[in-house]
Amino acid sequence: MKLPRLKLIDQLTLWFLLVTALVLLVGGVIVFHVVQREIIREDARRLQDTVEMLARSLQDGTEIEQLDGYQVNIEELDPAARKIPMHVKDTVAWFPPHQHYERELRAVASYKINNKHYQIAASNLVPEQDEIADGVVQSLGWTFILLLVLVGLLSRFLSGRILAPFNQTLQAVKSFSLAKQSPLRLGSTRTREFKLLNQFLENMSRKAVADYRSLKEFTENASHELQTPLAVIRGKLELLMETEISDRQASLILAAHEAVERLSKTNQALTLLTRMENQEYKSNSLINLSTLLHHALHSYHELFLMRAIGLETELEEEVEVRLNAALADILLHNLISNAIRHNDQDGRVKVILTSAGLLIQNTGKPPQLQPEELFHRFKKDNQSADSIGLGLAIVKQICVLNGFEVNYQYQEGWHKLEVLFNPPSRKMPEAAV
Amino acid sequence: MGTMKVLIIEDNRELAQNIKDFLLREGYLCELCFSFEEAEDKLISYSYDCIVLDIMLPDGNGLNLLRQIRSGNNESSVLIISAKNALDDKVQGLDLGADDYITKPFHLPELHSRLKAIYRRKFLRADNTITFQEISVNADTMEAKVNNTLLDLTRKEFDLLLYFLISKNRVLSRQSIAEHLWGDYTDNLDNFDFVYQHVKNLRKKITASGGKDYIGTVYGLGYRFDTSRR
Repeated sequence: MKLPRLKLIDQLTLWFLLVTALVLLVGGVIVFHVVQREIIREDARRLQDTVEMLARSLQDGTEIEQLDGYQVNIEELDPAARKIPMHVKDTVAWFPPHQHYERELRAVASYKINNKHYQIAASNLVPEQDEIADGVVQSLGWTFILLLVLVGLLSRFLSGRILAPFNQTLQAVKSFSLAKQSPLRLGSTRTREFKLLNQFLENMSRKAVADYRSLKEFTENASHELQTPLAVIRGKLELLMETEISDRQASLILAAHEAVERLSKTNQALTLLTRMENQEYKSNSLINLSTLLHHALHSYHELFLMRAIGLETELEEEVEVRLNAALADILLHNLISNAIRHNDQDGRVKVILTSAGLLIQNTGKPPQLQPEELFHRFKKDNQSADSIGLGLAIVKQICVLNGFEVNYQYQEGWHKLEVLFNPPSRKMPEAAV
Repeated sequence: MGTMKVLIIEDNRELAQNIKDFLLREGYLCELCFSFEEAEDKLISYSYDCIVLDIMLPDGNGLNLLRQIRSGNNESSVLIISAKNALDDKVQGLDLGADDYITKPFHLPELHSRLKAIYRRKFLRADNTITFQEISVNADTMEAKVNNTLLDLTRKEFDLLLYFLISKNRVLSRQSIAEHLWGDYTDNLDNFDFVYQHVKNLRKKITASGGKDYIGTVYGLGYRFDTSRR
């Protein structure tokens, strides 16, 4: 069973009211019994007193007729009969005004006065059990309703006050972004738990920012430190090319040169991925994807011609998405060059851009990898062993970073790569991005 | 164009030496310095036509050096070297008055062509024509002539011819040409057929206008504009 998500204060209130209801229920039973017992006991005592008082009056010579009356009954018994000791009966009696039986308490005793034997009885109507129960339920019911209203109102008010530091902390954590590189600053509070929580969060964010900084520095340094020796090697090879060399030497130089190119491209791509993971690319403005796509396609124009690949486009104009401009460029170029690279000679490429998404599809041999594996780093189809196998991983990362969804399908000879700008699964826009 | 004086500020000695070796063949005067401090001294004492400046120096940020150069009424053209993907450095560098930037790892002919281009822009405003024998190329008007006949070149072919003329007798690898013509977009392309296609077209157009076929292939490495040809 799935319970609805409740606010902390509502949960507390609910539990409090539940416990209160239980207590009131048990309390009600106790009250009922105690009240009933007290009424009966008090009435019985009073009735016994009345009987004794009547007996004394008879002793003093008062006439029976003067004493006998409503709720009092005096009868003469056989003088030889045994004396009836004082006792109280809980019984019912016919109540003429209401024309039905009512609960009645009756104290009876007999006395031998002046050689006569009198039985004296005093009775009184007492509240019935269900009447008492009614009263108890009603009073406790009203108490509960009063509690409900008061606790409900007060909890709202108090939660605003007591939980204010907690809510502030929540807000601060929500808007915390590693990329901003400033640790959390949380206000002071007099609640011990919140103070501990704030201290813990502040320390943690400080640590995270420090780690992030060192990781960022490492990435930058690694990128630079690797690029420099690569540039050295490349330069040496280029200088070597200009010396007198044999064909054999030239082919060795060429192979080394190509390996260096690959290495440097791989390094660049990995650096880019790391930087994206570090959320260093902020997407703070809308960019016109239509224009960018036109430019990108234009820059590949020659390549399409050279490989005799037919290009069809259906581009909606003025499509705007929230995306970092540099990343948008990389995204489009990776997708387009991918569609060219994994294509057949005389193949086709179809590009469809709408405000909902971008679909780039190209003809080509069926993939040998599982579709989801295509987005993994260094996974690549044998078809083009030259690629470094990071292009789609970068595409995926850009999409993840910006809340896009990227799907791949192979259908009837077409590789279809689709980027959805507002996928249905899109969650809350990430504050950190 | 007189002898160009170039200061190379690069902490990696091998890389600095590569650049120097490459530029020496052009007859440039090259000086090397490997640290921020050394560069400061050199810049106070001497003047240079061009400065090649690596932004990441062990004892200081190259951008600060650039600030000093620009504040000191120094007319030298500055080419900054930055790590790839360090977009901020590029933008900041250009804002601070650098004339161009190049990212590591670069091709030496590319560095040379950039240097030459910013040097031309800065000091040879009057006439931006490069001539070799019957071929003359005007980088401003984007006109290329063979024996005074205008060549009908595409933009890419024009750039390619200019690149060859700046790098006369140099081996230009296909990667280097590809990056020169298409910039970063070649990152994802591993097929250099299109370089071959452009070179072929350019050669055809030059010979068709009566020019000599100076451009030849070098082993499998690339192409060379050979001034001693035929």
